[in-house]
Parts: sequence; structure tokens; C-alpha cells
Amino acid sequence: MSRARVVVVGAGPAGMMAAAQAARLGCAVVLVDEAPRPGGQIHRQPPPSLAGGAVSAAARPEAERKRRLFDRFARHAGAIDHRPGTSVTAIYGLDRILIADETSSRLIRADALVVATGLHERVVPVPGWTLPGVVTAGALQALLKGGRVRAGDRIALAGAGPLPLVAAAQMVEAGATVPVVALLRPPWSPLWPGLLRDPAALWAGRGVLSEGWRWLSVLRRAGVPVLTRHVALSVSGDGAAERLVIARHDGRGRPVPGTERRFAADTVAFNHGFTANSELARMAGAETRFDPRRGGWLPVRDGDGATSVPGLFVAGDAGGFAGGLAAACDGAVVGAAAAGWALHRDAGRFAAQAAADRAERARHWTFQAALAASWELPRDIHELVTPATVVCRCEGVTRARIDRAVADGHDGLNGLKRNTRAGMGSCGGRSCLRTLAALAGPRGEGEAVNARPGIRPVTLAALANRVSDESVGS
Amino acid sequence: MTTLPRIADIAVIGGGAYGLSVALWLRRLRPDLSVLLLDRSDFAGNETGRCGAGFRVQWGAAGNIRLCQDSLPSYENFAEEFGYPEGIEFKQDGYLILAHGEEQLDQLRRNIALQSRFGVDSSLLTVEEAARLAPGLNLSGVVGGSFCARDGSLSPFRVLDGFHRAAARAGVLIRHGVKVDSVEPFSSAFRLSAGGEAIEAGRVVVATDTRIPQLLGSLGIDIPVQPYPNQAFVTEPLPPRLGPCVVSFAHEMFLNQTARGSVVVVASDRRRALGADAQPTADLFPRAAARAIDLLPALGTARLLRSWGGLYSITPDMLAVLGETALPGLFVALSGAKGFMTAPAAGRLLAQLVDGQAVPDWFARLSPARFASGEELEKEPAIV
Repeated sequence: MSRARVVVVGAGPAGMMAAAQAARLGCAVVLVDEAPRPGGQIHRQPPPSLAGGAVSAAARPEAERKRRLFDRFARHAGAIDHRPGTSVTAIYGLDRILIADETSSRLIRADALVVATGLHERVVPVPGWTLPGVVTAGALQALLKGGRVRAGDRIALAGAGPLPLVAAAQMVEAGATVPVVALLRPPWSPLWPGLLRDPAALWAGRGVLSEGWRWLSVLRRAGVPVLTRHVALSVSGDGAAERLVIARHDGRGRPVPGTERRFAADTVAFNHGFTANSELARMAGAETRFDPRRGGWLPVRDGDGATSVPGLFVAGDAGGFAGGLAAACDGAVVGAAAAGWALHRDAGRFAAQAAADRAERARHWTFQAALAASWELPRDIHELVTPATVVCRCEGVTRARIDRAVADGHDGLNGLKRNTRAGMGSCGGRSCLRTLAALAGPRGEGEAVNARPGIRPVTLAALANRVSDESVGS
Repeated sequence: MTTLPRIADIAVIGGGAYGLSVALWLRRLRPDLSVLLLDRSDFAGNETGRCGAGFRVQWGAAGNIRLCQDSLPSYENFAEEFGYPEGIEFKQDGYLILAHGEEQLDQLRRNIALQSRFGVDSSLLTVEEAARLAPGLNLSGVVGGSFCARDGSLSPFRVLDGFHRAAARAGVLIRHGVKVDSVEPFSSAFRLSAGGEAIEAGRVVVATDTRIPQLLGSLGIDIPVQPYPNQAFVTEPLPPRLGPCVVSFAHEMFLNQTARGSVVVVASDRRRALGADAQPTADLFPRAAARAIDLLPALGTARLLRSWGGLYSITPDMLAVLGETALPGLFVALSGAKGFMTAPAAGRLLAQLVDGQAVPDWFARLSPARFASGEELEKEPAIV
């Protein structure tokens, strides 16, 4: 007789906690993750040969969060069938989830499925953004955390929200020169009105705020200019990034003439917020809604993470950005609900077991709701995408081609994608669909693109080599 | 959705290759008539956008050969004929049909004989000749094949975009996201009901392929068509591995390395029941990926990009159904699962018919009347 099985996709804070919780409550748990080691993007771990090393004062809070998360995970890791280097290729139903690694694939069944696939970065394209040497702010962090590699010597950053600031400070600590951090607006400015109205949120966010303060201090000590109300105009260079051009903007994202400034840099990093990785939830049939601040097309979920599909749950930032702290709490809450569903078809059965995490999650959510406003992009920001700018880099589709399709009446995202091929390439539209939706006009953000089997590239040999499900999660 | 007109001289239902082509040709023939095209989905949202992107004249029934043969010049000269300079990615490297066994080879021989009657330059190949044309293929068990150099691979999205733009330029009023719920005779014309709105049209062309019976069944018009769910997947772009498109009946498979380098694999399953559920199934990959690798071993290291399902329209003779129904003024355009290959000629000739012009006898024989005539049907044998 097989035990009730919870399948968790993604081993970041939400997925780790969901897996640990479901295992604690007696379920057989399979934790599927693409990375070789758990932690997700936020706590990306280097290979053992590169582990260790000193932790700076500013980096200490994150290291402490990571330690607590891994401790909690470790207590139940023995009961979790963790499958690193594995991705979900297709969901044909909760009883038929196709997972694959480099050499084989298997079809597994879930009594409850928790999608904890996090999010990816959003970038508003400007001329030159496809040059070598242009990366996302998160990629700077990933290289540093996962490979102890500093992406460049002279790194300019631009975008929205707090991530460019934090990444810049981390690059400074790693020994890089940061000529500028250009932000569309001060990430703290949307924070204060909300927080002053809601002292509880301020209190809940005190840890994050003090951490942010420490990173800002790193930048200040290093003399890094932080220019707010500035917009990136272009990246240029001879075959690779050599300089970033920015300008003040008028509040709506349009550059103020005469305020252009150029900064020499061998690496330019952008971040304009995040897009939730909701493809798997959508492929499983979950309803979505569009939320421009918290990650685009978000699966509709309740407080237990339950979606419109019975047995399908979404945990952490895949349900909308709220940060790693909230994600860990959310994972524990959703893990309990998934276990209740898997064992008793009752998501509320173990609610009491996750009461403390639920309460802590509420505090983080309050704080993050205030912070989310910093990812509201200025209204006219996409005016900076020139006709010749490549919007979809996989398929080489320019803005001019997209504008032409929209003018032809193809202003729904799926039709626009088929007409232009934008979003059809290897990245699955991750780098361009938000831009495409913004350029499409009022209908663009109204529909998510179809999520089809094959969302993560696997080899045909691995797909052909399907092994039986017997060994999974037993 | 922008507002719909209340009246049109001709309404075309369905915005795939057939619907767009016939609408475009109607306006080209009769710029004095208003042509309204209604499509239930967005651009390329149905079967044309899901096809395998191959083109061949190598069929085994005269109707199919003629329709493809007449369409080929339009694809070869697409930029000029449809005012579409960006091109349709026509990789005209031919199309190779493999025979595993003498029975299949005999069929190919008969098909080639028929094709040559219409001047098609196809030929029977030895295994060695097939190996030279497609060196990467595993030809074990293959006894020969059929090949035509003018066949090839082309982009359904580009073709539909070309049709779409040419139709709009010609004055066709195109409305996407409009599902027609019913068509009814109304005085000497027809009344279409779409989302609560009524549209009056003098003549109607229904080009919704497998969905035609849903619309016309209640009028007592019986168009024999069954949906057959087929599946496909596409790899990431690869270096050139395959010149011609390849069909292997033994593998139940069609392979097409497009001009962009991606390999499209259409995997049929003869055991699968007819039905309108086109969702990809969980058994697709272990079966189809293994067969695809067996046929073209280089595909083993290729990475999957995405997969999808679509519906073949299966008619009793596997030919298109193009012509007027028993209700004068009501026409059907049904592809017989070859809409993409045959759309230029099918649209042009059907538009002539709708306009009351003479059409060639071979085209007239594609009329829906053939199923009630009691005559023996000419059947297409060369389906994957």
C-alpha cells in the first residue's frame, strides 16, 4: 500500500519548508528541484569545494536566515525523496506528472502537488541590453553565491526596487567598483507612507529594513552614487558592454533632455522587478490573475495556497513576490495544507500545526505589500524601447515587429506570440513576455500565455528513457 | 472585441489557412462585395498553427495532388503574390517518404505513377539514394522511398501572417475572438448568431474544419468528418541535420528540420481513438521520442522546446471537402488534414465557385455532394 504522496516542485525556502512540513505530518514527499543543491535562487549554494569563507556584517542576516531554514529542513530531510537536477517537463494531471533529469524521465503521481518554483527577474529592454556583459542583478548574485565568481570589475546597475542596491553592495564587498546605481525611484519612498499608516508592518519589516540599511551603508562607505528617479537609456560598447547611459526621468519614465550621464562599466546589471514562475500551475489548469507589482500572471490561491484545481497548491514567490522570509513561512503553511489534502482530502486538517508560521507570514506579507509598490514601473517606461531594440532575444524579435503585429490587430498575448514568434524560444518567454504584454496594450496583460508540456528543456534521450515510478517516494 | 457589422455580402467562418485564403480571394475577385471573416480565437489559434509545417505534392489521390500542385507556385512566389517581403521560410529541400517493406514501396510506386500523370517531378529512390539525401537517418529496414525536390518545409505562422495581411489589405474585415454559434437560412440569405449578435450574410463559407458538423448539423447538412487527435513536439534549434522532410509510416512519424533549425516531430498513434480532445497525452514522449531517435539518432541529444496537440480532419476519402452544400449560398471549406499545404489553391478555386465562376472538373469533384452520390470515392492512401 502506497502512502499519501506530496510532490513539491522547487527547493527554495518555500519548497524546502513545504516538503519538511508534509514529511513531518506523515506524507511521502518527493522534492523535485533543478539545482544540484537545495536553497533556491536566494540561498544558492556553491559546490562543497567552494564552501566556507568569511561572512561580512551586512551579509550576516541572510546567512542566519539560511542557517535556520536549512536546520528546519534537515530535521525532516531523511523522510524526503529529494531529486536534485530534475525538472518537471509536463503535468498531464496530478496523477501524471512527468519529471526528467539528464538521462531519464518518469511519470509520477501526486495526491497533492505544491508548486514552489519562485520567480525570475524582469528586465525592461533598452538599446544594447543584449550585448555580452549585460546581466540581471540576480545573476550577479547567483554567480557570486553559486560559483564565487564576480561578474566584472566595474559593474553599473539600474532598475527598480531594492535588488539593484543589495546586489551593488554585494559586488562592492566582493571587490568590484560600482560606478552607479540608477533607480527609477527610491525603493524606500513607497515604503514610508504605507508603513507609517501601519506600524505593525514597520515592526514586521524591521529586520529587512535594518538589513537594507546595512547594505546602503556599504554603498555609502564605498562612495557609490545612488541616483534615484533615473532611467537607463542604453548600453553601448564595441561587441560588449562598455558604458551605461542614464538620464533623469519626468516621473512617468520619460528622460529629461540634457540630463544624460554616461558611466564606464564592463558589466551592466538590470532588474525591474520579478515575474512569478507560474507555468506549472497554469499547465495544471490553475486560474490566474494579473498583478503588475507582485509578479505578473499569478495563480489565484487562498491562504492555504490552494488553487482552483483540487490538490494543486502554490507556495512562496511563485504565488507572487513576498520575499524569502515570507516564502519560508508560506511553505510551512502550504505544506501542512497539502498534507491535509493528501491524507484526508481536507486542506484545513493540520491548520493548527502551522499557526505560528501563518502568523509570522502575515507580518511579512504586510511589510512586503508596502514594499511591492516600488516595483510599479513608471507609466511610459516602455517608450524607451526603440523600434530597433530586440525584445525577444531568443528569436531576435524587435519592437518594430511587435508594434506591427499589434497594429494588425494581434493584441492578445497568445496571438501576438504566434504572429511574431516572440516568447517561443528556449527561455520559454521568461525574458520578454512581460514586455510583450506591456507593448500589446490593454489586452496584453489580460491573458497568460498557454503553458504547454516541455517548459524546461530536456533531451529527447532522457524523455525516451522512461523508467518506472516504483522507486519514487516509496 | 470591436463591434461587428450587422450585414455582409459574404461571411467566412474560421481564420485558419482555408478561411483566410478564401476570404482574401473573394475580395480579390469581387472588390465590390463586403467580406467578413470571423475567427473564434486569436491569430493562428487553431489547426494551421499546430501543423507540422511540411509541404508535399506526393500524394496518392488525384484531388490531393492537384490541390498541392496548384498551391506550390503560390508558396514559391509568396512574397510577390501576397505582398509579403519578409518571407515564409520555405526550405525547399524536398520531402522523402520511406518505405519499410515491399508493400509500402508498391504503394509509393503507384503514387508516383499517378503524380507523373499530372507532371509532378517525383521519383522512386533506392535505399542508397535515400541515404545520400538524408545521411543522418537510420535506414535499417528501409527498402526504398519516394522523393520530390520541390516539396519542403515552410512556416505556418509566416504563411498565415501573409494571408492575414493580404486579406486585410484587400479589404476583408477580420474579427478574431468571435465564435459563431449558429447559421440559419433567413429569407434568401443567412443569419449568423455570434455571442448574442446577429449578422446577416448573403453567402456563407464555413471553414472550421473538424467543427463544421457542430455548426451545420442542425441544418440537416451532413459533412462526414471526424477529428483525430495528433501530437507534435519541437526541439531547440540544431545545426543542419536533415535536408528533406521525412515521413516514415513504420515509425508513424513525420520529421521536419525547419529553416530555423528546430526539428518538428509529428507523432501519430494509430491506436488512438477518434475524438476532439487534442490535449497532449502522457504517453507521447516515451513512445515518440524513442521512435524519433531511432529514425534520426542525432535527435538523442536535442532538447525539447515544447509539445502540442492538434486535430486532423478525417474524411472518408482523406480528401478536402470544398464546395456548395445542399443549401444554395452555403459553402464548406474542410481540409482533410492538409489545409496548410492546399490553402492557396483551395481558397482561390473555392472563391471562384462562390462567385459563380466555372471551376475545373477535378475541383468540382471535391464538392460535399460526392458523399451522397453513391459513386465510388477515390481514396488517399498516403497518410502518415
